[in-house]
Amino acid sequence: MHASFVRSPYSHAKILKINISEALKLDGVEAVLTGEDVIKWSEPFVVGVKQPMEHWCLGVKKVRYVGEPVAIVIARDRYIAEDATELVNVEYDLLPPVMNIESSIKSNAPILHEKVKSNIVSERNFNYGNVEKAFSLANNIVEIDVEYPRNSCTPIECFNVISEYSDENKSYNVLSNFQGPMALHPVMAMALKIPGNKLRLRAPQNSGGSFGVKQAVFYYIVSISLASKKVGRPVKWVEDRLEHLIAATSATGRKSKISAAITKDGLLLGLKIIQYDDCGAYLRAPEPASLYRMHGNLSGAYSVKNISLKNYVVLTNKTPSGLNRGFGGPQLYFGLERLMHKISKVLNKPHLQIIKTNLLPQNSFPYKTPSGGILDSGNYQKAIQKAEKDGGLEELEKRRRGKRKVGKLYGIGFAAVVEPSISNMGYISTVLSHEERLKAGPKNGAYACATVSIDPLGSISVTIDSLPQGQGHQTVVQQLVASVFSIDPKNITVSSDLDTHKDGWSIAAGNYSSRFGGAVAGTVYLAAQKLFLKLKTIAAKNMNINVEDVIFQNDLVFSKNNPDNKITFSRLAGSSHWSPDTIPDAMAPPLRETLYWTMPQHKAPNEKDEINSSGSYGFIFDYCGVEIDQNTGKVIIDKYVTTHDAGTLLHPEIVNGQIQGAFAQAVGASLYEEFKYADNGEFLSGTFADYLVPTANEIPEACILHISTPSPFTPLGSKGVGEGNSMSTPVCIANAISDAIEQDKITLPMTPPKLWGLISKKEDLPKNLNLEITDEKKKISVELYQNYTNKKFWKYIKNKLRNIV
Amino acid sequence: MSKILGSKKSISFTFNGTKVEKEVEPRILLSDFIRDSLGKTGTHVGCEHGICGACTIHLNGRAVRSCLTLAVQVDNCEIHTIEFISGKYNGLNIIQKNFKKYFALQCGFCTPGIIMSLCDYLYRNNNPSEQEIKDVISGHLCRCTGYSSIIKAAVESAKEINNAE
Amino acid sequence: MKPPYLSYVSPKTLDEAAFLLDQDCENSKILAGGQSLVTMLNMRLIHPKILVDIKNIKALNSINATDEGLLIGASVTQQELLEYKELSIVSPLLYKALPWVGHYQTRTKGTICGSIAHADPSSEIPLCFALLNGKIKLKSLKSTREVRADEFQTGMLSTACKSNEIIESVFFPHLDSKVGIAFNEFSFRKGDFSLLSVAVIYRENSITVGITGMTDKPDITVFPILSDDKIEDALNDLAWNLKGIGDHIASARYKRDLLRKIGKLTIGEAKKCQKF
Repeated sequence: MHASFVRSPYSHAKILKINISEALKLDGVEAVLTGEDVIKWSEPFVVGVKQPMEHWCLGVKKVRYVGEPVAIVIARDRYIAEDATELVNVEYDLLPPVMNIESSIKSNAPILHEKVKSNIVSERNFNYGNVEKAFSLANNIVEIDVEYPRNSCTPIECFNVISEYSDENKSYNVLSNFQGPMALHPVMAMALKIPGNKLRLRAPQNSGGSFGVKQAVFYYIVSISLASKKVGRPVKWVEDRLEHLIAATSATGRKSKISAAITKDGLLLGLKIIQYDDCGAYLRAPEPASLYRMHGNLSGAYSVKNISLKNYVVLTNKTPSGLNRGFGGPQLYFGLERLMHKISKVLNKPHLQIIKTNLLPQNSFPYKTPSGGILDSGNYQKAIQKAEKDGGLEELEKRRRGKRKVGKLYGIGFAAVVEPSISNMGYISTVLSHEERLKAGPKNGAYACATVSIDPLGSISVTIDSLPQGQGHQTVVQQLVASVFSIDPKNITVSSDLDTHKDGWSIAAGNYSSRFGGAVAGTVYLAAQKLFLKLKTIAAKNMNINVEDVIFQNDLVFSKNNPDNKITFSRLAGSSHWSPDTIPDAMAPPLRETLYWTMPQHKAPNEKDEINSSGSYGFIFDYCGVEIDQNTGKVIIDKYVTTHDAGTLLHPEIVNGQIQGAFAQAVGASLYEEFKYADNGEFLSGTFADYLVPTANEIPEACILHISTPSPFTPLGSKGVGEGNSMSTPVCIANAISDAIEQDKITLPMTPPKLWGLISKKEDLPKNLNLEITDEKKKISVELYQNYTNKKFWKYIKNKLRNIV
Repeated sequence: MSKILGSKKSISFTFNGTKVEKEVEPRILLSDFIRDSLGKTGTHVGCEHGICGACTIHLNGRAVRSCLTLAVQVDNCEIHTIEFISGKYNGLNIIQKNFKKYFALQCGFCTPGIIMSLCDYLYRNNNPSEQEIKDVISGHLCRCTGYSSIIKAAVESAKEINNAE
Repeated sequence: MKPPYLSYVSPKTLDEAAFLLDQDCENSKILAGGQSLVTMLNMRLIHPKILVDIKNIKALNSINATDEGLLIGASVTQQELLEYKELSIVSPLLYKALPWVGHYQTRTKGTICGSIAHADPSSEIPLCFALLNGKIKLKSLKSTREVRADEFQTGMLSTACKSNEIIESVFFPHLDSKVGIAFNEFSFRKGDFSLLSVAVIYRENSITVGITGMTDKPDITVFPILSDDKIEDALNDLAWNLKGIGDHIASARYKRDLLRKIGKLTIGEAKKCQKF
């Protein structure tokens, strides 16, 4: 059966009545699931803060955002299901909506969740070092107010769910293009009121992009499962684009205020940060993680020691927020790096000089940040040096001078960013107070799991838990394992699908926080190494030589001392299966290794609220030159240089593909994309003609440079790399625009009309010169003209065509 | 005249070189028809309003959006999908090979549509400029690659196709 | 996003099409390229009961260059016209404007007449039609009539075409080969519906300026030949006359400024290529 959702056209309303009788009469319609079923069969989702909020898998009694589902029609095919959704009649009582952070936090604001009594559902203060002292010692205090818009990376494949309820086992069997994190599996099982083992969740090997977004399909897995229970048959739902844009998920919008205490040279003594995150209508797991993922690297690439932070989680009548590439990074760095730019303007010093003044020194790694992050490795100076030289900064500055000389608006922007990867799953609990955390029990870690096995014919199978959605994990793993065993990569298959009933997984499994390079590939490597050693031991026994003397090369295994004493790789693998007595004693199940790996550096947040929120931290230094079209206000990216230190690179082409891809999405976020709402709650970005994803014509090619300081904490020394430009590029472009137009208030996306609003002069008044030729005269003149010219013209055309033929 | 609303129509057309006769409800989109009735799932559906380009196929040799075409409209027409391209060249054609060479795909969801557009455009036009190629690719949304690798693969393919001719 | 229930007919002749349309014209829609129509069906913005597909009417699939102009049948696609031999000579305006229409993959199916019939206020083809003051031929069961461009588009998505009429063809009159022609448009992304399009015919004694994006339909204005600073004044006055409609994407002020800037640019380009 196929499902289609009935969704709220209103951003805030009470549901008075849902009339489904007309829909049920339609031939082919099986049933309609509504809030009544949902209350009976499920629970609200657990919420990450201690607040009496109810987030059900359908809008129950109230709707809180445009597009919130209120009923599901289940029918023979999708066409009929959509016919029936038009026949479901929902009566609403409209309530005033709250459409932005400012109005949401007002004391008289309409309340989204009455039991909470406020739209601020979490408020936390943090203090690291001595901020007040730093501010009292400062030569200067520089402040900036910034906002980051709501947007999404909108994968081209939308959400898919197939769920089958078994009445016999009271269990659900789900296939969905869910991307993890698997920490949401317990969230779904609890909402369905079943033990974890009654929710079998499978995710396929291939999926059409995600960028964090497909985390949010978990919300629909629950409702489609209930739909299956309703009809006692499997139910399929394919999200369409309109549904996706209006209601899938969004990055959080953020409003922040940052003040810096600085010396006269621009050295940061202290930072005061206030952040308000717009999480939409419900705090949907894992939110408010956006606000805390960057907690360990709050100070970015800089050595500032004293930081105070106020964090507010705010609800508005918009789509609930969730994972989106960069997750918290674009929001944090937009404030921090705009601030660094502003400091340079205030002190009238080059922006790059201010950055360099504050960078962490070369030999300070591993470096413990004030908020508890442990920056594993880096050489920020070297990266910047490389960028300046190989990217041609001097040339670019010359270009800016030349452009400005002829009256063009041209600016250069910079951004230095620390890119965290491999999330410590405990960071989200930083939103709770220490006392609340003690009560809930410590949360930390991030187990990755990989299995490597060799079959009797000697081909190797690898299973990974990273649920890739286009990042080439299979290719990298294939090459990695081939190099361990010295065999042809073609003999290795990599399974990246996931079945919770059959595969090894933990809460950290999934495709997020750029955990592949550091955690997953590393775990595969360790498992392969372990299995390799085993195989070597078996080979040594078989060939009657010492383990150290066994050589694996080009699908062959032989003795270092006597190359004629050899066996093919496949034969060795086969014998290990067929003749267990050739296997050394005490060697358990021979040719399969499943390995779990986590990092000792991942600790739960401590009593001082310090948290090492990620396992590894790369570095990015970007700069760009932009020109403003003075006819239209359009921003043209003239040159973009991005330099990365992601530790050891496992596959340079794939890495560069990730960087260019993130860069393109960030250009979208900077100049084109926004989930826009009118003040009355109406959603204004509901189609791909309104939500503007850049095309081949809008994206320049970034100049990508690398340095490498391997991570001492990950097995291969590699770090995450896929999200960095989501964090660095928006603010780098904003800084360049600010430099070009010499203005501070840069908000994204900087569309041409918005930019025009900043640079346009007073509008000329009409002179009413009546220069036009009036209508009557026009008609006559045009007609006369046509009659006069046509004959002559046609002769010309005929001649012309004759010549060609 | 219009009998019962939505009653099925019989259509016959050539699909990837084979004659096909099918009954189809008039409102069924060609994209759904190809995927669900003909079982060829290489044609992807990404927006159903003609912007993302994932569903692009050949209708009488021309790249068109199958989501903006009703299946009944292809009566007596020739349809080709990505499955034909792979089948015809017994593996990968020039464009597909270059996509592989230049890492011009990541998740691959938009790829069949782009290949279909380029298979129409590049074989029809001699020496297109990079800008003209970009304009054709701009009829597709790709979220993964940031386009530069796609443009390189297409430009290289254009050269190879011209040299072969 | 699936179309609602509908019936489909595919007549072989225009008379048959007119007959079929006449049966229940209020609930019928002509289907040509479908690039706008099927989008609206998928979004269920319209619920026609019958679609009359004109694609199989052979007579409508022709492009004829006559002594007076270019006659384009109702099922001719935008790409077919763009690839029409020597379009750059036969109709330089259409040649310059058509690449701005949608994308390659929509031009291969979208029709010239369909775009005029749809009458989107920001479309390029209706602008060319209005600028050249072409004629459109409408066929109903009982009659055939011709409507001139200045009487055809009556507003946003609305035209003089009655529900029982089919567009048979559109006629674009030729221009003197000496006139200067230029076309520009501005949108956030290339291929989008434009925020503002400007098309200019620069004649010996006059400058005809066509604009979309300011009001609910193309606006055509004729100026005498003016000096550069007078052109700025003229465009400024025009911007104020048309006012522009502000929305959440762009303010009316912004559109007026676009008109001033792009208008000047386009007139300049047209002036450059005139040969008087």
